[in-house]
Parts: sequence; C-alpha cells; structure tokens
Amino acid sequence: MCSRKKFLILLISIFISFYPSFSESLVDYQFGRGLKFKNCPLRFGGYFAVKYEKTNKDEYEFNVEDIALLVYGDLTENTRFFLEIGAKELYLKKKEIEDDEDEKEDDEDEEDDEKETYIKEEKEFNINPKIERLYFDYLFNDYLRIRIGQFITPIGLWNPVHIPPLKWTLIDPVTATKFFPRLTTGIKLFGLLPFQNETWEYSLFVQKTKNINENHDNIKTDDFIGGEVKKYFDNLLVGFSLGQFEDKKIKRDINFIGLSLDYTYSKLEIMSEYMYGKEKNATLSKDIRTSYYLQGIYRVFHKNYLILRKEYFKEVDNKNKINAYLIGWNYRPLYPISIKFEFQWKKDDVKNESEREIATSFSILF
Amino acid sequence: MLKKIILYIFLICSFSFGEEIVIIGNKNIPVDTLSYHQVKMIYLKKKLFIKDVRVIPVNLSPFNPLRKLFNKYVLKMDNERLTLYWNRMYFKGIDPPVVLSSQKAVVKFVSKVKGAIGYVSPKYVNDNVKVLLWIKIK
Repeated sequence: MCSRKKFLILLISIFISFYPSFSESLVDYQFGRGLKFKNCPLRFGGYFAVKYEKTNKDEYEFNVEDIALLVYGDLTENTRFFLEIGAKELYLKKKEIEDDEDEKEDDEDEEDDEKETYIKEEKEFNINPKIERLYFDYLFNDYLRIRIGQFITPIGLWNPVHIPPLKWTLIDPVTATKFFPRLTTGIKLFGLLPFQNETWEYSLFVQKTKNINENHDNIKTDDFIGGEVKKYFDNLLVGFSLGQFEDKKIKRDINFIGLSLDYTYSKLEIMSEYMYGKEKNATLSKDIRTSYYLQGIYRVFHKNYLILRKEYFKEVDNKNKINAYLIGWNYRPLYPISIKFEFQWKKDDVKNESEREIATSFSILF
Repeated sequence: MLKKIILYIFLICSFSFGEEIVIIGNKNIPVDTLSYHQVKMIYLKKKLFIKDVRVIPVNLSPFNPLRKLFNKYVLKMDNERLTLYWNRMYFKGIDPPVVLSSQKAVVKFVSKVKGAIGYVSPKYVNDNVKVLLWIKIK
C-alpha cells in the first residue's frame, strides 16, 4: 500500500510539473523525451501501453499492460544513473481456453477426443509498481565502461528495446523471449573495441544473485553469465552472443548462442535473430531448442511502416515445431506514439494445430 | 546582364566543388583527425571519449540544410530514422546531442567548451577551433 501511494505521488508530481504555470526557464519538457529541471542532472520521463489481442479460438486479452517512469542522467562526467519503475497489467481482462493436460498425463489410456477443456475468464486491477531497472555506470573510457545493478540483458536486437512504444510489433518473436532472462542483476562490462576503427562493440555480464525484481522477468535465475560482440559495417550490424544460466523453475543449467543481423537501406530495414539453446551436459538431442525470425520493415509513407515476419521455433523436448507468419502495420502519428495493428498465423507441425491472432495496441513515450 | 553572368559562374562553381562539411573541435581535443565512422559514433553517442576527454557533440536544428546533409552523408540516416533511433536511446537513458540555432553559435560553443565537437560550412571555420575532418560531397 505504501509503495502504491509513493508511486501515485510521484506520478502526480510529474504531471503537476507539466502544468504551464511553471516557468519555461526552470523546466524543459519535450514530448517523448521527458522533463528536465534547470540545474538538475536528471531527466524524468516514461511510457504507457495498452493492448488488445484475440485468437480464432475465441480467447482474448485486453491489457493496460505497462506504465513506467524513467529517471536518468549523467551525475558527473564519468558516472551515470538510471532508474525505471514500472507497473504491469494495471487492468487485465482475458479469456483463455485450456486443455486439461494433467488429467491426460495421469490417465494414459484416455482417448484424445475425451480430453477436457476449461474456459478461464479473469478480470483484475493491479497497481503494484516494481523496479524494472536500477543501475549506475562508471565510464573509464570508450573501451571500458562498468554497469552495476539491474539492467536489460544486452543480447540481440529485440530484447534491448522490448517495450511497446519502441518495438515494431506488439507480438514478440519467440527468439527474443524463450532463450535467456530479459533482465540481469549484476555487473556488466561494455564498450568499443580498440581496433578496426572502433567498429566493434562488446558486452560481458555476470549475475550471481537474484534479481532486484524477479516478477517482471520471463525466466527466473540467480546465476547468469554471458556476452555479445557486435560489428558495425556501413549499413549492416552483425552480433554474436553466448551465455549460460540456471533456470530456477526447472533447476537446470541452460547454454545458448545467438546471432543477429540488422540491415538498413533507404526506407527498408531487415532484422533477423537466431538462437540455439541446450541444457548443459545434455547428451540427448531432446533438450535442444532452436529459433529464428526474419523481419522486414518498410516505410510505406511518412510515419507508416509495414512489417512482415517469418518465425520458426523448435523445441524437441516439449514436441513443438512452430512456424509463424506475421503482417503488421505500425503508425506513428507523432514519433513518441505507436499505434499497431497485426495479424499472426501460427502452425505447430508436431501437434498439427494452428492459431490465428489479431492484435492492436496504443503506446506512448512521455 | 552582368549579374546573370556572375550568377551562372557561381552556380557552375557550386556544382563543380559540391557541398562541404567541416567537423570542428575544441582545441583541447587530443587528436588532429577523426574518421567518418568515429564522427558517426560520436553523434550517435556510442563513442563518448577521445582519449581521456569526454566529447560533447553539438547539432544544428533538424530543418537546417547542413544538418540534412550531415545526416545523409555522415550518419547515413534521414530525419525519421534518426528520431526513432533517439526514441530507443531515450529508453536507454541517453539524450541526443545539444542543438544550437546557427553555425555561428556552433563555432562559438565549440571554441569555448572543453570536448565540444560540431560541424559547419567552411566559411565559418576560424582559428579558435580545430579542424578534425573535412568532408567534400561530390
């Protein structure tokens, strides 16, 4: 209750600060770039997102999914501070249809056509702000920078900017969500590499404790190590990553490697990521999972983008082999605002199931 | 008639010499030249230091023709792509370069502020700043 009050007071303070009675010389506010007070090194901003998804199985979800506050700035020439506090799923209304898997496993003789399905409907309000990111940077030089705290795992193209106002599509590719924890609490060394005209970038990170906030992470871990190198060419960025973590839920060590490509030319951008994950010391191929996506983004008109994506995900152990195709439209009436419409068709070749989904969202940086 | 001839000569000269952008820096910057890529990385705030000096890139307003040239030939991004890039950097806690209203203001700022870097047309270059890269656009 106390944290809710603090969060509300903080939000109200921010909105009061926008009120025009404040002198322009004291306050500088730019839409989508936050608020800055004169003589204060910190900038205050945030984002908000709401979404609606519906499948052909009559499942749906309406979700006021994110409101977050950002506070950041250069404290000195060599130190930076960053804080993100976010509340997720402020209002959620959804309907899910689930097969009763447990019952099916318990009774192996039971015929498939007798399996039961359950309809689950939920509606909930939730104001429970948590720390999403909290870190300090110390910048020795371009080649060595240190980050301590909770930060976004610096792997791939999608994960580092995975919030709704910045993502190209509302539906995340599995490649960016199933292979490693999105957040890391620990130490990160990063910077440029001092050769080839500084066209290489690196990140190395280690986590040996639980996250400051575990609730918003996709995979819970307290033991995570990894890194990534990126090479910049003229219009092309190539990244290679690898890592290992202990998945606390299944109590197993997972190794992964990844490759990412980002090519831009005029109004076109092509993004692709590949991930391969494997249980450590696994001798059987059943513990392997692999995935890739290939996405094209084309600016059709000023502030209007067409997105086409092909995605593949294979998980031997859980008998999944999914191909997914997405077509989406991302409209930015103003640059900090993103309005998305998308349609995804997904087919599981092993289970011989398919699903169609439409989704739309409104998100804003403020 | 004479005016027209002068104007034609001026236009011909403009086409044959093309546009030029000069990257200038404060005199305390401890290098004499920068590469295209280094300038790009400085303006995208990926490169923050030159040796041990923290660099402060300064920009012109988005509507300034020289900034459009700079975006196109050095950053290789148009204004829309660049704005989306700064949206992503905002989420990472990094602000875009400071914007100044004119090339004169850029030269004045660069000459006075330690670590400052800017870009101007050749006619604005003076002895109070250091030329780090001279870009001729054909």
